[in-house]
Amino acid sequence: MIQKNKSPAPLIVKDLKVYYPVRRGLFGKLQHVKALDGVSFEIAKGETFGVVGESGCGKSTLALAIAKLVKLTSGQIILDGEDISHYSASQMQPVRKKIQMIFQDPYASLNPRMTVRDIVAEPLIIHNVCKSSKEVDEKVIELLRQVGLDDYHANRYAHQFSGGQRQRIGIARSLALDPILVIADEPVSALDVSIQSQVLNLLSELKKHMHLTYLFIAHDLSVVEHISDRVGVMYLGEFVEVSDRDDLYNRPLHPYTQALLSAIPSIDPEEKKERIILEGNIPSPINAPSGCKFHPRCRHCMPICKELSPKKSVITDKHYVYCHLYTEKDKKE
Amino acid sequence: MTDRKNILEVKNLSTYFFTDNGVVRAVENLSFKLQEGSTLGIVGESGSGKSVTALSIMGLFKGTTGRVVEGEIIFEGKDLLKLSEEERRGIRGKDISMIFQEPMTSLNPVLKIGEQISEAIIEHQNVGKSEAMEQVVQILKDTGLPRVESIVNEYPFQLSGGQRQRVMIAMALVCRPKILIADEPTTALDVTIQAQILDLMRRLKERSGTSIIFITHSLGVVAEMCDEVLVMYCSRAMETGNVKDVFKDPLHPYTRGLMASIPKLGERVEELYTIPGNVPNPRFMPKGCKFAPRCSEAMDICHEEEPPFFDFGGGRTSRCWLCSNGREVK
Amino acid sequence: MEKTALMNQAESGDIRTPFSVFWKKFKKQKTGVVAAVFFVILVFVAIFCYQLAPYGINEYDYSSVMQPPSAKHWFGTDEFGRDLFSRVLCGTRISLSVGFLSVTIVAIVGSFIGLFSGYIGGWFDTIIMSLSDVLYAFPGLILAIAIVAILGPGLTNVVIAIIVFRIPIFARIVRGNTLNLKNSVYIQAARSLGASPARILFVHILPGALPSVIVQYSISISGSIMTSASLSFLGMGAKAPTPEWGLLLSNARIYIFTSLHYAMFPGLAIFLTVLCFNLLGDALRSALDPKLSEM
Repeated sequence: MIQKNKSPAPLIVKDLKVYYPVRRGLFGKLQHVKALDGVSFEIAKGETFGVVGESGCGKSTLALAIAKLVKLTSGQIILDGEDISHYSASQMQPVRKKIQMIFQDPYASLNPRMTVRDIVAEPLIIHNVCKSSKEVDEKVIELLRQVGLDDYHANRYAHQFSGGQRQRIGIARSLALDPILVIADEPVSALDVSIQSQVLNLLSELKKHMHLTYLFIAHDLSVVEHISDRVGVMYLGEFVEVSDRDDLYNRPLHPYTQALLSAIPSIDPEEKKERIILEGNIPSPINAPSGCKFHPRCRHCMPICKELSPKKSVITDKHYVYCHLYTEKDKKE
Repeated sequence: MTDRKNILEVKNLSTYFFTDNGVVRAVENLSFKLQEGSTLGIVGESGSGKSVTALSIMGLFKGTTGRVVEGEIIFEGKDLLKLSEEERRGIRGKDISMIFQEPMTSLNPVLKIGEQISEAIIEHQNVGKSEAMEQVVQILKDTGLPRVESIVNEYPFQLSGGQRQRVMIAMALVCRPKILIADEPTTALDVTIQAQILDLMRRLKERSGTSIIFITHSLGVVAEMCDEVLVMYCSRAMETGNVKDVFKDPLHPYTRGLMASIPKLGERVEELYTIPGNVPNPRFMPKGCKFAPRCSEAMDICHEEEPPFFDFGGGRTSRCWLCSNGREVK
Repeated sequence: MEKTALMNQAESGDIRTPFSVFWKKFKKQKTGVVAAVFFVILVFVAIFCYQLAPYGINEYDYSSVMQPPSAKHWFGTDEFGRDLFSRVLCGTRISLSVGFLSVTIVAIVGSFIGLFSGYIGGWFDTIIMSLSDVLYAFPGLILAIAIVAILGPGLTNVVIAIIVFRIPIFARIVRGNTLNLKNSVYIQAARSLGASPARILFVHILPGALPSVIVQYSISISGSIMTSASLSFLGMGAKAPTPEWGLLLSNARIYIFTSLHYAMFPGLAIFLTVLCFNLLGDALRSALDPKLSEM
């Protein structure tokens, strides 16, 4: 899957933090929602990096931060060898060609007053990559065919399409500029069961043909397992475990990953798996727990977990986890 | 299995919406039985008519253009559709209650949690306010909510999504209903919170013996929660039967397709199975079997004539010409 | 992907443009259609009034003053024996011109102010909106009187007065729409594609705000016709012998008990025109429902 070549990794993220200031009431204390609290990872060329987590874990902020659609608090984003962390809006303009997004809600992410042609042509027009409007039309048709739509769909309006077809339009738009990185934020979670697999297959197929690199964000662990090469599990703005797919699903180490995996209902009614039911709710990112942020819900919670936030424990060169259970073991070994 | 009493029987139910742009047939000729103490899952994609089925049983069409045009809904020997609005209100919330997908919009934002739940008790049970409040505290404790004594004095927005859904469940169960209709109760929730709520519902059911109709789009939730299942597509039932049988050996190609197309944990395939095409627009319904245009096993007859139900005993039926070896249901 | 299976709206043959969706909904509203027909007649009359008028508007005939309606003079005559029908007919052009001119300018200026105020936000927005609140707090007609009192009477100054006191209305509407649309996912999508602020404003936000502007445009025309007539009635607008409806009413005032027709026909003209634009505005509002996604 991962091509070994000299070109730099499409994306390197180092210690990324995004805090949103919030004030409760007019004279309330200024607090921070720590949406992302020190996230580091990299994505190799041709790889699909899946990010899973529950609502409020910061996975959508991660997508917006990498696309520079929210203000970064600190940290670095290196896109294709270029550090874009401090780029201004005008400096970002040429870089935007390289990162494209697919959004969750195919109803909200397409302008209802534009034809499919105008929607798909928008990136081509913004970046002025075609010489004539005829060339734009040809490119639009080519893109529509690539995503399984027909030529005659071009002059219809988005509101005439079903959810799955709209998502195809969104995908066509994201591919128009041959991006280096495609960020897909929950691209199938708003779709019906029978349409999800169509879109997932389309994404895999396009990746193969166009040598794309995906950052795939989802809450559904089985979808992420299907599509990803490597997976990162997020909880309250941090990664708790990052690993290549097989290792993560065969041998989940972090208690949170284990709980997530066991919480998925199986479609085999005979299967009786041991279910770990987490107590309590996901804490608010405004006042996250001290130490390991997961400790109030963790069944292996130790005294140290309440005080110290765990450091990265490298299990194999591709599998690491942020949990005191494994720092202890590291020391023993 | 068959010796259990049917607490609810729906016969040939059709519910239409009469909109400015024509008639939308949301439920078409639907029949099913709910056995006492069992859980029936209704699965289907969006627009398949599963929620409208719930609303038809509850009789909640006020302010919409929807109307039950045909059929019977028999609960304890009475046809609910023949009752007056007054009589139905007496059943609603007391004998049959419902929980909704979005707990935020189904709770009144300006009423305290305690007041909201006690309202139903005072309405149906003829008890005083303090006695009602005692019952509220008890039922909220049963749902596993923490610090119940203070939650009764809080407003819905002060609770998290999972907590609100627990409140909804408490509200639905407070009058000890005989039937609970749960319409996508966990869809808006996170995986770990969904697991909590499913676990709660299972425990409450075991204790109270309430019969449940569980409406969901998730096959996994059905497999986990239900005894019987009804698969809906395009306003119709496509397949019914015992969950174990249906999931082990689905008779209808639609059920087979659905099961094959979802990614499963631990199963790694290059390509997922897909059901081609889209759910047909209600305005352009195919003539024969509604699934035929997307069906990989469709025959000539499927495009011409809509199949009847074929019965295989033990509640197993399938609306598919491929199953014509079964006994035809008239 | 099998074509046979794709049986939905996109396949159903007709291309449903936002206009065709609008037209389908508009047609269903009977009062709106009647108002639209009347509107077309008004515009036609305004353009061809001098050709349609049986008499010249300043054709004095002292032999027949204050005549009641007859076959010769449909609306009767005034105190100088001028044909009232011709004068009311030609008043259409004046009222519609004042209405369209003032509202077109105010719609453009107000929309831009609202657009930038909403998009830029921050202190700019605060200042603009405070100014507009101050302006908005004055009763419209009194503000218009004050402006005309400063600038002096005359139709041009009436137009200016209308523009000034209606700017906040358009600015607020467009600002509200801009604030809503600014945070929509498709604007975020455009931003992620690298769209410039100008493109976001004029390709994405402005067309989204347009339906509300069109509705307000229609309603504002009726308002500005009223204002113009009121100011002329008070002697601050059109000057004699212009056949402005308000001025005609003002002249007819002293004859109201002897010759009712003199006041009635200009009054009726104002009433019908204002009603027409209000009904049109209501019909447009229902037809331009922002939800284009109806089934």
